Amino acid sequence: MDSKVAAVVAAAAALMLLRVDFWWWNEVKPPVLFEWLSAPMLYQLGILLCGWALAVYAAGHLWKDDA
Amino acid sequence: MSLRVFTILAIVFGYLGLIVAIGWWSSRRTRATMEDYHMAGREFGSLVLFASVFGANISAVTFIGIPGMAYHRGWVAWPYFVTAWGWLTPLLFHVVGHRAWQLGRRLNYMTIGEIIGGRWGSPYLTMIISAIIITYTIPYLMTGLIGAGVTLEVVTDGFVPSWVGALIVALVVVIYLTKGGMRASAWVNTFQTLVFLAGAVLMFVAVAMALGGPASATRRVMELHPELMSRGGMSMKQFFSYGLIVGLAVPLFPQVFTRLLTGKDPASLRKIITLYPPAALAVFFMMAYLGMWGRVAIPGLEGAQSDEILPRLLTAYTPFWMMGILAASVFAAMMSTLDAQLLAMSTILTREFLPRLPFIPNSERVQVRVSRGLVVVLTAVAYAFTLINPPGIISIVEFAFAGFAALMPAVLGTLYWRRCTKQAVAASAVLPQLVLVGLTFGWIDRSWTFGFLPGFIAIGVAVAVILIVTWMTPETENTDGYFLSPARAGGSEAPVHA
Repeated sequence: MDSKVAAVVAAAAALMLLRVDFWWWNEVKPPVLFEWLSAPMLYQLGILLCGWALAVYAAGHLWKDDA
Repeated sequence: MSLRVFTILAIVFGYLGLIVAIGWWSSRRTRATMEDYHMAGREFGSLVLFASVFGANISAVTFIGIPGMAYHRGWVAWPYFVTAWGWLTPLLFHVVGHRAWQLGRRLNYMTIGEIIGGRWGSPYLTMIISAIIITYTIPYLMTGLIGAGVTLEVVTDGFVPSWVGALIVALVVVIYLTKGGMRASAWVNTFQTLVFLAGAVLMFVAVAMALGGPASATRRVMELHPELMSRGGMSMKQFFSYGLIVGLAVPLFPQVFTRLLTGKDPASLRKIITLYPPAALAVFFMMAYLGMWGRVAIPGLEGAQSDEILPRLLTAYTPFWMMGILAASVFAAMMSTLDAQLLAMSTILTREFLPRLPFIPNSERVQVRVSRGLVVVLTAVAYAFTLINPPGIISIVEFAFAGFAALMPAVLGTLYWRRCTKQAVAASAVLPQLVLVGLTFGWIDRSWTFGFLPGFIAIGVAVAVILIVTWMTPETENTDGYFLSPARAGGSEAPVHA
């Protein structure tokens, strides 16, 4: 497997695991942004942004039009 | 009939009329060939491709199921789906969709079954895969009709019963789909995607403002239902496993997969990968908060009753003219999936099953006519099932999603693993489905899930089976042109035999 592909697979697996923020689970956290969004909510937004960056990277740098 | 109900119905019927008109207009160029009816000549640019794929993906689950789930479980409803599916699915559009697009162009494939069975020239493998896909698409198909019926019943205060609402939507979809096939469906979906994206924003803003703003609404939830803020109603194992299931399942939905093959070039596909995550987040985020705020605004909904929370919020907090527009945008999300599912199932049946019947003539014109007839029959079957009054929408699709996700190892093995054998792919497609059904219905002891969702175990079984059976079975020859040699990069198209 190409090293870039391996890195993307590893990053995807890591994101799937990190998505489960067990350290905050079952806790009621007060809002920290706009009196509305709590830290776990912002963390989940961060996971999505990292995943988005990964997908964009894969499409831009791993894409080969031949297979 | 009150003026309020009359206005809402006038807006909704005006919208449905517009949809039929767009479908009719876009179908002028549709020719009576299988390639044109089912794939629209594979000519779509990035905007239509994105709207068509996203519209096929966003369904009643989003506009009815997510608010319903957030009503009972809180904000976790959006990361439950989006923080895995929102990026993993676009990543798989690259991994699976791009390769499938190339094969579709080169070898004229239109379905997942053809791409898998086609590697070994095995029509039986194609039919096995397609039978599994059809089995899981039917319950998912029902959700669109159920959601449409519920929405119209609630926003008209029961004036239009849900069975009538579902019937109206079914008829509208049948009209433009039989006329224009994929081209009509894709252009209608482009319009519908714009409508439901704008409608979601409008609904969110209107309801949030009526509740005193997001901060005030969230504060009330923290005071009255703090459990909705803690995610305590869901186990971490469920959260983890469902993320994987939904992320792997969506690229294999037939309505999504077939559309990935209709792009005119790889650049179109690449652009939708970039657009998908923010669009997915926007819709799910807003729907989940509306559902959670709905718990304090309209308390007391039990079980699957919470599927009505969005239309109830619209009824309670928006002026009735706006409610008509918003109800139309909910319809847009449902119809864009419904038509894509119907067309995809018609494609599968016409391409893979009907040619084996001796009384079907081998003529493209007849096959297109049969495809149109199948759209009508499939709609009638799905409608009949919706009248049975099944449980909550999320429960229905959770099962279907797991079935699709368990097919992913077979798909990846077929597309990328040259040593992989057709026996391994067949076993990896079928055995996990038996495990999934066994665990879901309790025929296999639930303790074997170890706290994860049954679909997660089924995916694990699929991976193990494809590895073991490939190791146990001899290599077999691939179809010419399925794999291209590295020399292709230099301009030569030398096929490789495994």
